[in-house]
Amino acid sequence: MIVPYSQVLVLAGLLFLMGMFCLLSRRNLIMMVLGLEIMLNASAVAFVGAALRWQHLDGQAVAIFIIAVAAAEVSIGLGLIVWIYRRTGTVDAGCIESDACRID
Amino acid sequence: MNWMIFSPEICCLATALVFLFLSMAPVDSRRDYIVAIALTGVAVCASLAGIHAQGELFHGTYRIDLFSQVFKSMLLMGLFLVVVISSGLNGIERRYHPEFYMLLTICTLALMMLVSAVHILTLYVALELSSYSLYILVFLRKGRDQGTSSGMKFFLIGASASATMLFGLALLYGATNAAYFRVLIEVIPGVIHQPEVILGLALALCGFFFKMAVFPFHFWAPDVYEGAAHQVAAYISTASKVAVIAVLLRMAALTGGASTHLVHFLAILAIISMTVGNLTAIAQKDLKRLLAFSSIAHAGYVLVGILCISPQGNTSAIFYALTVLLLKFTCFLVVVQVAFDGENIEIDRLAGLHRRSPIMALALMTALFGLAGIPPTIGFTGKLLIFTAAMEKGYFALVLIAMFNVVISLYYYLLVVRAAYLLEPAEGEGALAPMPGAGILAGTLVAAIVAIGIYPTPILELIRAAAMALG
Amino acid sequence: MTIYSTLFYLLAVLILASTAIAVTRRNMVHAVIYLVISFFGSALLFYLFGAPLLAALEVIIYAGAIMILFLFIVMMLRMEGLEDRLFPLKQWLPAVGVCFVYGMVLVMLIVSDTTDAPPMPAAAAAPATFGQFLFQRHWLAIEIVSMLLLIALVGVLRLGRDAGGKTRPESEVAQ
Repeated sequence: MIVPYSQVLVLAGLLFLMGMFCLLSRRNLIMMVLGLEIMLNASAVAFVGAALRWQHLDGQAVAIFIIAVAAAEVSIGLGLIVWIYRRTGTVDAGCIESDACRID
Repeated sequence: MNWMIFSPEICCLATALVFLFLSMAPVDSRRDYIVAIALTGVAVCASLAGIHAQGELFHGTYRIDLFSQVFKSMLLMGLFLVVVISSGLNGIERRYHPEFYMLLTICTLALMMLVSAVHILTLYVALELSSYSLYILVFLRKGRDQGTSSGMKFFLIGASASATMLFGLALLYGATNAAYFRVLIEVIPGVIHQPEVILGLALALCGFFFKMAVFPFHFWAPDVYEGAAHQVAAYISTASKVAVIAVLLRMAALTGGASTHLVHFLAILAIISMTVGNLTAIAQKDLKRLLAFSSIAHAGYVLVGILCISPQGNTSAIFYALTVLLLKFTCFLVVVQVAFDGENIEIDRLAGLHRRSPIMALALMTALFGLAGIPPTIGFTGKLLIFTAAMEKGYFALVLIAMFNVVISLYYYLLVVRAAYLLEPAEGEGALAPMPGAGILAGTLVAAIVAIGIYPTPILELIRAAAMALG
Repeated sequence: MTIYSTLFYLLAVLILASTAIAVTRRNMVHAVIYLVISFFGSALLFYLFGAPLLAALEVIIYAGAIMILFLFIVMMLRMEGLEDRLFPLKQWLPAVGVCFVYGMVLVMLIVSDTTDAPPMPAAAAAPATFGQFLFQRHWLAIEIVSMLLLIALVGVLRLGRDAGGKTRPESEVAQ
């Protein structure tokens, strides 16, 4: 016997909150993408916990796809960040938006 | 397993594969264009032929019924139309044209799977596939910095919206042990009062609100419309909206109307989207930004139809999907013709369009009047259906606010029409030379907009049957 | 309290603490390292929840590939020493607002869940059973994800080819 499901949900919810907090409060693009990864991981934890609760493999199946999507997301996200860095010399979200620190 | 009912998707996949190989061949835009038209035309025919197909595939994770097939036909028609206006694809570098067509077809394939998916996993991965192909389509815009910041914004907002949706789906699955929609639809009305179910549904809807550009997730729309190539913007504002309407209908049908909280939540979002979209659109100078804000407002109108959660409401939302598809596409057809160089277009550049190209000016006027909801266009019929469905449910205040918004929107649509009809063309602006076939296409679209507006019965019958299949 | 629930609480504290430290670090290398610890914790949690295959994949892909990619990028762009002004006030407000609302809902959720839900029984899915389930039930999703990865490849290729857009002409001149 492990724990009631609601406690797993609390753990996943707090993780999700931290990811969202990181995404919203940081200006550095890399940290923002990192926040996204934390959010995806939180969902994976919730799904695996649910799979255990219901003794059904569907939840685990979703988690494996979350990992694949996270890989695609990180490759696109980081590719874009490197592209932006080469163009503008910065990874600051506010800077890119305001066009203030373009080097060209 | 019956492969015939899967044929529209197979056509789409085959098209994508053809372009994957063409992207390795020497650059030849003309060839790409012709191949794309031929193959997407075949796909449209396949979807129309199979419109009455029915069945379940892949262990029940994929459902084919009239509802999904009607949406698939609309999606493929949207794809076909966008491909047709891609002959002068100047917003994207020539060597990326095969990739452009490939991503477009893969995105359509993903959207088709989205409307047929009845399992949360299939739904999620199909949504991600369509989002990612759109992110990359936005980056494809030629030029130094256009598409950079808008692409990044699109990606960050999109990825966070889909992560939020995923967490919502996790909450739903954790609370109900139901991953199939047909199970969810039975279970949810019984557990709708648990906080995690409501929270899960609300979060799960976030991912679709993003695609639809509904209020809290609408920031990306103007920047992306402005930053993406015209054809891509046309695709985002037509096909991807249509698919999301389908999924939102499916998700809303899950609750069976048992939750007033959810209806209130949707109503608030609808009101804010309409108002924000319309009020901000007034101040816009760039035509594509204006269209972006108007699509935020239209997302609000569609939500009114969706939140009725009644057969009439569903019918009106499906009909409105068709309306948005036709009207928005006609606007973008004109944008592509006027801004043939692939650059962005200010409203002032439309000055004297009726002299430079009467047919384009007529198409623009019809489409804008349609968006504003003036009879006898399809836009009027669509709005009428939505408002009567909402009245039947007794949402008088909501309808009143929506009507008020329609009046506001009339103002900026008329500003654009005024530029096209009343202003004199700028010096040195000769007659517009539209692409071959663009005039015929514009004429056909105008005829369709007016004809369906006057006599919608046959299409409405089909859509009503489709809405019944949703249940 | 059984040994399993003790393990769960230990792992939960480990995950939450390391994630909290990670999201508040200024130095990105430190943030990434702390996240690796957090993802290791998640992997152990998956193992505890009876998903050994997922635990392995979490270590290999999440903690391994993805985090190392982050580390590469941080080092490549020479951002180890870059001081990110932590939490500018302008962005504090929406972040705190959203998190507060969400936290309230979470608290509501915990409070409302007073019914003594039975603890979940331990179980384990053998990798072979899991794989069979995946390929029987969800092979459409597998195909979709494979297309997603293909698309990501195309996108990164396009970004990579143009990444030197500003420097390439110069290097061509130099040649």
